[in-house]
Amino acid sequence: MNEQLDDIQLIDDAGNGDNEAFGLLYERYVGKIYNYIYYRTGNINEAEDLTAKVFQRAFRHIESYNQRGVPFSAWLYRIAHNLVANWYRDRSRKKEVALDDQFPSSFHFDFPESSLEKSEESEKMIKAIRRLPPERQQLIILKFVEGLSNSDIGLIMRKSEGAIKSLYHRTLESLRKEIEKIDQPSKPNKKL
Amino acid sequence: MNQENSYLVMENSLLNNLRPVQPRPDFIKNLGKRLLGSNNIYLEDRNHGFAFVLISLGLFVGALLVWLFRKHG
Repeated sequence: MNEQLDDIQLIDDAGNGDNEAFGLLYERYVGKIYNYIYYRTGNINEAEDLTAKVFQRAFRHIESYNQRGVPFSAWLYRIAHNLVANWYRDRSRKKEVALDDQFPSSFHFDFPESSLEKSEESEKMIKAIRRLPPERQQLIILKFVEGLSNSDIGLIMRKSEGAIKSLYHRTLESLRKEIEKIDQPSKPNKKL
Repeated sequence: MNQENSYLVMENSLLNNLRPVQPRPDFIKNLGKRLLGSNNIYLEDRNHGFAFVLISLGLFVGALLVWLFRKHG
């Protein structure tokens, strides 16, 4: 709650041209936004590039934030979500390498202490998450990486707490199915 | 294993595997510098009073010149 009150003061000051106030907001949220984008894109370079864009956009439009009626963090996550969606759209046009192929190296890089078995489990989980629709990926990342409550996630995703709870159960179910598919890859038909 | 248990197992697995990552300190530092070092664009407040005085003066001088030409013409 204190953080929320501090945010309001800092946002007011930043809106009046106080760069130091925006700097404090930046320090408070840059790690969270980076994590969100990193898990959505699976790529360190893209995570840095898009995180920079989120804060540049927030910096430019901080004066218009107050009328939006959502916590500052939710506003930032929404900007991040839109930029990630644009990134996916542009990427699909360019028809680059499939994202699944990029994940293992990135995640090995960030979890060097993990055992091989642990790393394989992580990869499998990440791969299964990547196969979910974007909305479900977003929910999983906000809940488990960012540690947000259902009500906070609802504010970001513009849904009620009940709708998030219901979506969460459907997401776990589809994630379970995706993991099963990965564990039991389709075998070639051996009819003679 | 019932559905409730399978969800619990999956939640534990998600908690263990989706850990927050640390961005590069250089990236955080440089982005902060870039953001806060950029100059804000301020629109200058227009001085309407000064503009009014200039236009009035111009009109007065113009009218004076016309009057002088007519008087001596």
